[in-house]
Amino acid sequence: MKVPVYHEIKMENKPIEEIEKLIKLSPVGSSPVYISFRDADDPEDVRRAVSKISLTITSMGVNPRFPNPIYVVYNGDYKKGELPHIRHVNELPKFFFSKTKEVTSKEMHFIKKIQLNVEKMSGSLIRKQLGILNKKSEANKELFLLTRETHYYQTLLKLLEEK
Amino acid sequence: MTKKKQKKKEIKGFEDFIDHFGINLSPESVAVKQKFVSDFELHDKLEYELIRQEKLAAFFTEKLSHIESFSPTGNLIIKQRENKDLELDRLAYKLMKEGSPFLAHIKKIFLETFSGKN
Repeated sequence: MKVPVYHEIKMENKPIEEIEKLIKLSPVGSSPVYISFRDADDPEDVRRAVSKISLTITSMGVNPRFPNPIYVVYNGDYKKGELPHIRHVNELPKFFFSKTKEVTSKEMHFIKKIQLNVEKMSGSLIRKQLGILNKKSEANKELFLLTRETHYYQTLLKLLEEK
Repeated sequence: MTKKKQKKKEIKGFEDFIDHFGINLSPESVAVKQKFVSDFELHDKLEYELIRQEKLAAFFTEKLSHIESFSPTGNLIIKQRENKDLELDRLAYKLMKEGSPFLAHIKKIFLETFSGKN
């Protein structure tokens, strides 16, 4: 079992056929990961690679945001997909940067518990629950619009009654 | 009793005070303190990560299921639609009433637009 710190996947000029294998061998989902395209020149290549990565991650049943994030590090612009994109490694959340050392038994106990929680949150469960969350947010938006409309009518009525 | 143990006994109860004012910070004690801090850095990080993961797990496995089962939003939407229709009816009644400002303005616009030309 590993301490949850960033794992770097270097994608510089990797052929598209190798990407799937590379992602499947990496600890995506179980550990925070950033996929680096530092020396990539063509944004179109990056876009193609990112969509392939996204497809692979989805087929593995891993969510790119929860419980462990997967970032794309590329300093140019490409048509964004599902994966969170940042321009430089310095912009990554600092929390997962840590010096690794030999862990104590208490720390190992924490790591085991973290692993258990990660296993509890499978990709399909998160996808389903995020779907529910989206549905609920749409319902809340509808409620907000109705309330705003009613408030507008009430304000008009109040103005008419004052006259 | 060794000298070290005797000194420890002497400062018993004042450890926090000594720590706070940085008294007796010999280079060795600073190094020991730094090692102590770096030892606990990973421990603290793992503890925070565990709390984060537990909160995420609780959110996805318990809280969202509760939201789905017991959300009041659907009922609130029905009630708010009724409210809206009621307010709209009241507003329409007020506006269409004989001598209402709305009708007066409409009448004025119609007269200004059509009476001169016809």
